[in-house]
Amino acid sequence: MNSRMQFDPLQIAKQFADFNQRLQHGGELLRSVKDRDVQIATTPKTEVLRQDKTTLYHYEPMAERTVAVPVLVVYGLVGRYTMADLQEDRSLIRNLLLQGVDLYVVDWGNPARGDRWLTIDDYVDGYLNECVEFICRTHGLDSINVLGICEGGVFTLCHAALYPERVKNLIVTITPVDFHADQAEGRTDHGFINLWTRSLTPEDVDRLIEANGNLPGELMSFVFSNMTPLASLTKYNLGIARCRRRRKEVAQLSAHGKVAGRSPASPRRGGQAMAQGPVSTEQAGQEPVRARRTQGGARQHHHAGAQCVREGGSHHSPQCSRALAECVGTDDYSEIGLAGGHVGVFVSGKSQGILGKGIVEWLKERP
Amino acid sequence: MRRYGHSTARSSRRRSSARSGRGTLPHSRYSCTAHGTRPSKRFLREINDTQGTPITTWRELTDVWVKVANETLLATHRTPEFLEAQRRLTRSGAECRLQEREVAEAFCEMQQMPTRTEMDEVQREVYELRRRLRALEKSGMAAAAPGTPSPKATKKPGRGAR
Repeated sequence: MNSRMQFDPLQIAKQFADFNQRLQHGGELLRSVKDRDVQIATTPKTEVLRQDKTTLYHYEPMAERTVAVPVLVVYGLVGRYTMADLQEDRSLIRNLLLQGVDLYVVDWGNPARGDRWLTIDDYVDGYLNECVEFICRTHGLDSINVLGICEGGVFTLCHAALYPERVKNLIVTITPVDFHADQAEGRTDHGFINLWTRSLTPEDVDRLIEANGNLPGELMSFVFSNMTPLASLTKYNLGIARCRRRRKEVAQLSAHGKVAGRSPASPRRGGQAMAQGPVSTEQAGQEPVRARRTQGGARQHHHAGAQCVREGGSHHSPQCSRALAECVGTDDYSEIGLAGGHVGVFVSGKSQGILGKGIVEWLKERP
Repeated sequence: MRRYGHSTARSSRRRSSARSGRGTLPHSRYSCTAHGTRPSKRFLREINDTQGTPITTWRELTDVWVKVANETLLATHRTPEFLEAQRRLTRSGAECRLQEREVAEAFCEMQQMPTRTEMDEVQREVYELRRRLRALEKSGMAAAAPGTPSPKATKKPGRGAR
């Protein structure tokens, strides 16, 4: 036989009938699941500090404390911290709490056009620094542990370079450091966001942001959905048909869509710096403080540091993250490899436990 | 007061610049037919590859099709032609929105309503005031003494406190 296809016509007819039935049932399930059924970020927490639209939350403990120093989780402006606390069984936050970590998280809120003038300096030296200072004051500590995620990792690296005395241990996950490292790999499933931003001229970025006020969240959601274009297109049709007629599976599918499809906008100046950063590092000079005080400042990272790198396809390459190893000034640097794509590290069933456990063990060794 | 003459000249320059960009895209190389047949050929090659595992169900066949289509789309998204077309689409969308804003602002001014530009200016002033206030608070020159939590802090956290 010259083909891989070995079909029994009777079986095919049965499979088609079954598929049609599943599709119909999946449609009914999808219709029955309402917005209120898809609850995200439900782990109990308390608002402890608010600065403009930025909120600092403190999570309620779920186990006896095993890591003495609190951990501050910092997500990026692209996406939301809710990705780290998607659902009860898919939550990095919950995994860390269950292993005895005292946890805080920063929520940057939903920047609107009125926030368009905010710079990365405002986020790093303003809001983030005030959150760190607040936690230090509250617990009577000189320094705390910081966990940065994606763009939040870039913020925490900048902050740690500015205030190394305030950071005891720094962990960054899926954080791009070298925005050009994807070019050396030549893989088609990596680095789409690098490639896309490189194709824009600085003037294109200026006009885009001038027209929209900010870097629109919808645009970033569109870019993310284009990382696996067919998977995004077939998620709510073929994907629904594969949900084995369970309401929970449909709710899980919708929960991810609820977070991924509602990416907040990045404020104008910060968005420009991030969008233009990959084009040319010199253009990052538009962010004076970031350029002046933190370029090359990674050498000031003398505290212990870890980078969690995922190996699966993503909008930036794992090499973009691995570049951190070459920049830090500490000898105590670790790399935790993880399977899965970008946010898949937090939401996939496979990664659950591995990432949280790896982080907690690493922190316990550095009390 | 808004200077319409200046604005129109600027718009005209932009329109002229947009026009001059036309024709730079190699349309002949960006043919729908070529991009349409490529995945079909890849799909046929994939299902006729005798080295692969046998496909016995409809679902396995769908998976192969989705995989091939995904890879083809990703490869297309990385071509210089696609990236240039996408860049121009993004730019044109932005230019269109900015032109719409000029029309809306002209209407707002006629109706004695605040314009987007004026609102942006007010918001920038608020931002700069906030920034100055934060700097003052930080350096201890404001009324709030340094070293104390922000006045907006709602409550001190405790273990298990809600």
